[in-house]
Amino acid sequence: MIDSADSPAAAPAQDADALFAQVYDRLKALAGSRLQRAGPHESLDATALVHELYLRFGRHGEARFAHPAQFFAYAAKAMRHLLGDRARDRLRLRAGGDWQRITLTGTGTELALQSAEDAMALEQALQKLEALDARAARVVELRYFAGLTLEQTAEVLALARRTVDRDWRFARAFLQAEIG
Amino acid sequence: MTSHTLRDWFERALEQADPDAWLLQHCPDPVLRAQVARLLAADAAGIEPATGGAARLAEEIGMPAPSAPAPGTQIGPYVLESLLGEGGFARVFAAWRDHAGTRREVALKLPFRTVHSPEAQQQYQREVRALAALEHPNIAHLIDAGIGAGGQAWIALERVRGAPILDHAREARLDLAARLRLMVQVCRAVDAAHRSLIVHRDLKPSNVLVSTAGQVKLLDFGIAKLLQPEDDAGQTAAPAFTPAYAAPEQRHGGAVTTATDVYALGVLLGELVTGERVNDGSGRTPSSRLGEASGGAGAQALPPIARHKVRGDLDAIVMKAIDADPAQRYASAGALAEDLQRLLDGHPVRACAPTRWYRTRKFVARHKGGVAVTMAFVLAVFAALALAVWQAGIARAEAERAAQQTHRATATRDFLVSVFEAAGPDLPREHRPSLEDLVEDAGARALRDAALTDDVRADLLLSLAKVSGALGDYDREHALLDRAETDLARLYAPDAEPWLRARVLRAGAWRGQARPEAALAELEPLQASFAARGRIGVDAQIALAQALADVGRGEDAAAAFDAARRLAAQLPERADELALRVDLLRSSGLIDAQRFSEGLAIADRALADWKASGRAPDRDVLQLLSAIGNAASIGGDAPRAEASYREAIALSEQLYARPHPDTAWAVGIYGSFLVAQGRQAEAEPYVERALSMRRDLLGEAHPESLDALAALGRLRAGQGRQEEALAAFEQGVALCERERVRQPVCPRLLGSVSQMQAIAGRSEQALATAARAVAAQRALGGPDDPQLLAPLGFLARAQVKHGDYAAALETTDELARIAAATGNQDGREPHYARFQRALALFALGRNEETLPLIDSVVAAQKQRTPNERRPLFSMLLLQARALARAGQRDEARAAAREALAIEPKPAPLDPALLANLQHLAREGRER
Repeated sequence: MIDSADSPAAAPAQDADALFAQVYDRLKALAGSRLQRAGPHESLDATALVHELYLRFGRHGEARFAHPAQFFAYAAKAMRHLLGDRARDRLRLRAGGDWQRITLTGTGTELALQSAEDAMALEQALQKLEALDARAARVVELRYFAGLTLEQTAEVLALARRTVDRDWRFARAFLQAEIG
Repeated sequence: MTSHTLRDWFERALEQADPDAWLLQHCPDPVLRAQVARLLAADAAGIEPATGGAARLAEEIGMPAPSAPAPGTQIGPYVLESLLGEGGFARVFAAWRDHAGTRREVALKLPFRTVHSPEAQQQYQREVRALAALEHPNIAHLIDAGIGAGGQAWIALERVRGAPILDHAREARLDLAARLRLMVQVCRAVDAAHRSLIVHRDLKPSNVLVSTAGQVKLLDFGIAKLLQPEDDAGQTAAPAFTPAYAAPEQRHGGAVTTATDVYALGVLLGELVTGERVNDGSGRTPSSRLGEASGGAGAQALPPIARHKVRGDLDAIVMKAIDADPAQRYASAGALAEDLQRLLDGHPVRACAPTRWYRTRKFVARHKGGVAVTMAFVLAVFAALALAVWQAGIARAEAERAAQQTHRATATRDFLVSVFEAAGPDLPREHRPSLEDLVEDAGARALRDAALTDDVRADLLLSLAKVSGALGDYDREHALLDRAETDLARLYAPDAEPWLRARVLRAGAWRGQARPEAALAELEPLQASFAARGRIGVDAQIALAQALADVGRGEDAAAAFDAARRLAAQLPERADELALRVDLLRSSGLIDAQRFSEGLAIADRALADWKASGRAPDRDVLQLLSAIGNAASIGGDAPRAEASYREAIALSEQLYARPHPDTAWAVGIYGSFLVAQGRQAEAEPYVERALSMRRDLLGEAHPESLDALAALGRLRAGQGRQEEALAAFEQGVALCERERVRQPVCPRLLGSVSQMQAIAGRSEQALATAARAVAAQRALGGPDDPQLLAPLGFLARAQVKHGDYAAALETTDELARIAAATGNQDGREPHYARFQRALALFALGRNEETLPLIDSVVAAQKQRTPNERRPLFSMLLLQARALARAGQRDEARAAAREALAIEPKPAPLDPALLANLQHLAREGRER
């Protein structure tokens, strides 16, 4: 599932899919509770979210990651899935009937739907990018979904900073051109 | 087309001066060319997607509700049947399970929240257990609960068939009395749950069902707490309640207590009587909502009640229940039930007496900031107290029946629970009553709690007295002892053990109030009996020794301490520990009495004993190290003091994994030591750490926090940051006044403020503040208190500065008298007071008295603290002037030169004075 970020030799016996599922579940719970708590001025910050999750995993020792890099790769993937799932569900239930009544931090239905469409467009463009240049897609995941800086991204992917800069520039132009 | 083609073209084009022209020339494929051109345009636009922007999108999209499971789905042991209802936080299904061949029906609640982390699951299970234990005929029982796959929680509740109370009242066309009787049932059920420390949190008509037989059943008791989403840290994220019935504090995110339920009951009562929700913000009474003859009409309306039946008492009851201030509501749902019952019986309803809750809140409001005792501490104190009572009970009840012991233990436990309830464990920490409040409340409860037997009550009162004493509240300690003694007199012979306990406590209180002679009077007559009294006898002997040391009978005190050691050694258990304790207190006592070398010798011996014993380090050793540090520091042995202080810090960090007052103490005392040594840069981290630790652990108005604040002030003063120093001291004084702190640190802070005011040239203020400091210290410790030396010193200095020379002489006389009486002639304060006295004498023209005095002062200064150059400069200046005035020009010149060698250009000095000094250095006489 994750290609370049892992060092499979060092990874523990824990099944990668189970690890991912765990990260995803926890991130979902975390995002859910943050969302409900957030006031109108308090925005959900992916960086904070992912790092908080990282700390919690570290504290509880629930999942063992060979390297922090592996964690961030999983977290980025998990965030991407979270957003994709949520956007798909939202669009499926356009009328909003079953959408939870808990405050949406002041945003209206229209914005929610627009955002869901944006998220889906992003997901589709990212899939195209993945087919073209998988590494550039990884860079986007870490930057956009896990909130890492270019420096951190280079570290996680074990690439030269210059390479990541180039990947990012290409990915950015590609996504921009795709989404319009 | 491969990925590389597109990316390669893009990147190569970027390198060109004119990418478009270059592309046209080099890329033959028009489709690919168009693609690259779009990438280039996008790149040129330079739009940067937000880092981590995904989360914002997710937030805008919002949260999906979990999709509803289909009937027939198995959840835990239950099979879903049909959806009964759905709210903002959960769905409720009719469900059933097979139970030993019979079909058991339940209402199965499925919260939308999921419960993931192990902590959250444990918390959830704890709450479920508490709710499952709640059994009451008028409360629908929680049968079972669990957490399934994916964190899906489920709660199985007794399935109740009945109508919501408003529907029932309407359909059965209940009259007022019938409705009130229903409410009495409701209130009593709520009260019963409150007694099990469970709050409903979401009382509303749809949660109050009435069966066709007229029996009330409350639904969802305490369930709201299970439904509200929490984050993994256990913080409530979005409380689950129904806004229309929620009390103001609940809506504003405040503490949810039993008073919150009382509010909801009031709203429910109002609606049941009038058909309207009475908490609509209009402030209108229930009766004003009713017509004189008939109220609202229509099929939906409740049968109307005549206004006059409601006006007055029922209005008052409803309005009291829904008061915006929780403290003004009924103290309990039971009290509301009683008032309704009185109304039904035709008795007058209760007057609106202020409740305990209200008084506690008032008290806390008065002492805001000082309320800093954590629940953990309170718990520890009262747990220890309960154990003591329990053990005392067992020991004495050897001949008593076991049932009686059980009764006593139960009575004590119930009593402690009632104290805890008063502590408001639901309140945020800063609003919780302090330990002092709790002791006051507990004392009052002990007196009026009819369930307590006399001996248990006496035990409790003695223990509470001890806690009061430990808190420094000696007046209350005396009051509690007075009250305990009336019970003791009934129960025990005058030489019985409980009496000795009371005496020891009483003596401690007297000592705390600086009346050691009264303490002696308590204990000395009983001295012969101590040996037969075991542990309490040792305590009594120690207290006696301390009192003897206090009154200055040093030899007797030493003998009494020796006796205490012997008694301790005879105890069957923990004799060594007690002996160490005796030595510790003995050395502290001697050090407090300024008998440093003796105190140090004993401390050294105790420390060696401890090291030889191989025992693990403990608190007593820590205190011993601090005592050694203090003794060495005051006695002038700085290297030794420093070693002890550092050892104490290391030991306390080893003893306590978490921040602890003892660590804060050790850190702070070392910081103060370094400040006193003039090593400001080294001191700064210690001083700051001590202040923040003590404030966190003890609260800002705690004497030790105030001490740390004073140390910060001294540090800043030493750093030349006078404004900040004054601000620190003034903050301390303000805290003393606001929290009515009666501790030696407060006069000291006043003294420091005075000192800083003097330095700032505000001599008028400095004088007034110093006088306040002296008065405050006198009020605290009496006229011969050695602690008076420091404020008297400030006063003398301020008087000299202000030109009140005669008054200054009186002050220094007084200071010298106290110093002599307490064996402090060689201390710092008398030394500086002699300098002030010399200044005053010089100013009064009494030069022949000035000269020998200032000579001795200069000599002493050089010997005492060679590091403190500034005072020596001023002293030399006076010496030079006095010598010049006496015509001893050579000596005057030498003194002036010596002063100038210390500080050629002393900054805060008056330029004229400096010129005079320079003149003196040249000529040996003043200009």
